[in-house]
Amino acid sequence: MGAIATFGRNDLRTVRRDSMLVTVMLGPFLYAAALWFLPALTGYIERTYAFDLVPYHSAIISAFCVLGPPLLLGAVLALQLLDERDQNTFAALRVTPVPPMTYPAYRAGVTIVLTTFSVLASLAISGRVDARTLVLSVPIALMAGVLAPVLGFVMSALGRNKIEGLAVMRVIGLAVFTVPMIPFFLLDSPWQLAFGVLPPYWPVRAFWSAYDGGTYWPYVAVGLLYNAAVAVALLRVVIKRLR
Amino acid sequence: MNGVLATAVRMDFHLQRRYGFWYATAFVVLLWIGVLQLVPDPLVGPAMPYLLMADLAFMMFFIAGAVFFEKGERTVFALLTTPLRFRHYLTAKLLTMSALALVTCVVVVLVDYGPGVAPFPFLAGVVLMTLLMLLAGFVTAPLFPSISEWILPSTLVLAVMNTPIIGYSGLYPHLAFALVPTDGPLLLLGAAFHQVELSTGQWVYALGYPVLWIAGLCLLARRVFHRHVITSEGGR
Repeated sequence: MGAIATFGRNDLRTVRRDSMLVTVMLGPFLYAAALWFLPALTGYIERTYAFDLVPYHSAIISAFCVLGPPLLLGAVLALQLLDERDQNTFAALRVTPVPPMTYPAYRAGVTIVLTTFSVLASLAISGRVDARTLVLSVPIALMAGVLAPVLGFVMSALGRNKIEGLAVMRVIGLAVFTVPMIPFFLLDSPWQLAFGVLPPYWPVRAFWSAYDGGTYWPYVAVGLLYNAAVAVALLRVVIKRLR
Repeated sequence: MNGVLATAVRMDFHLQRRYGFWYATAFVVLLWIGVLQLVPDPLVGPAMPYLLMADLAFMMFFIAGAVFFEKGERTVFALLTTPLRFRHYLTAKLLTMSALALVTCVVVVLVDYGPGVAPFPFLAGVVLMTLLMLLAGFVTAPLFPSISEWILPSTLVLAVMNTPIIGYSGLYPHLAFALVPTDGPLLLLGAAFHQVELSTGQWVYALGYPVLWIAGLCLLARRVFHRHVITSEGGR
């Protein structure tokens, strides 16, 4: 506990020094701002291409507000870890009494809190979800929060350095933004559950149900457990890879 | 092409492959091709300019990553002792990275849209957009000590670069969007996929205005690089 308090104090000092926190706070507004155009966009596509976007609203909102924050903050986590390995922070920590698990776990914890906040804030500011959906989104935001270290750990474990990490992020970024959206087009088929292998499937799937008033709790329960299990498993991989 | 530049270009291609950019690009091309199969045919043309713009935006992160990495590994400082000048360094990066971006766009467009794309506005739009994104990354990255501190401010740059979409899409047309340099390349991409008809004045604007910005950003890149990368070496 003492080590975590020290890490936290140190972070708060750095936060004041750079613009990190300001930009983390701005993130939700950027995602929400994209959705302020959704009604105008829907009307425009209807007029111009005679295509009704309304059935796709929950998919669009979930891509921006549920997957966007974990992708951004997961990428930040990955870059922090890779940066710190390059600066030999990990080597320095190994000569202290802090267990090797503590530091990456602390980083993941901060990321979970920030992402959960970011998802809820962006949904609230977007003005595209009603109060009921917003309340139901609280556990979804937490699930997205746990997804952030899952994505961040994968990115930092697959790249040997910052720049390879970026190449991995490009692929993961596009994959996470698109592939979990595919089951939206086959919601009537049990095959959609095959996408459950992918951790990002669960928060968006739960959001679609919260938005439409369908079955909701199973997706939340399974998703939280699954994402948490994957995060813990990846934490072990990351500790091995980063030293 | 003179000897120094040719060597620099070869080295950058080599580094790109080693950094995994080529594999990443191959995956991205496959993903785009797959995802675009889900888009209804009449919407592929209208969607293309937005997709290409979103995809090219990532070049900003690639070039910034290269700058941070080379600074961290101190290869930038080793290069200072060689005949390589700043203009070679920047030109090689811009050339190799736009080549990578161009190949991605050509493959995705030919597979998912077909040969009906208008070649000149397509190539001009992609190249100008890529150069603007690359320079945006190159100019902003040296202002921050590490990539994790740059990544969040960079999303603000990205947001500004994307604002012309609001005007182009017809949502809220406003002349002010024309001030953002990516507006021209977006118009060119629109013309490439037969979404907009450009007047002569618009052609001049869409080609000329980004070129002015690119020239200005190149000059700014030299200043920023000297001040925040090269001379900072003495401060270590």
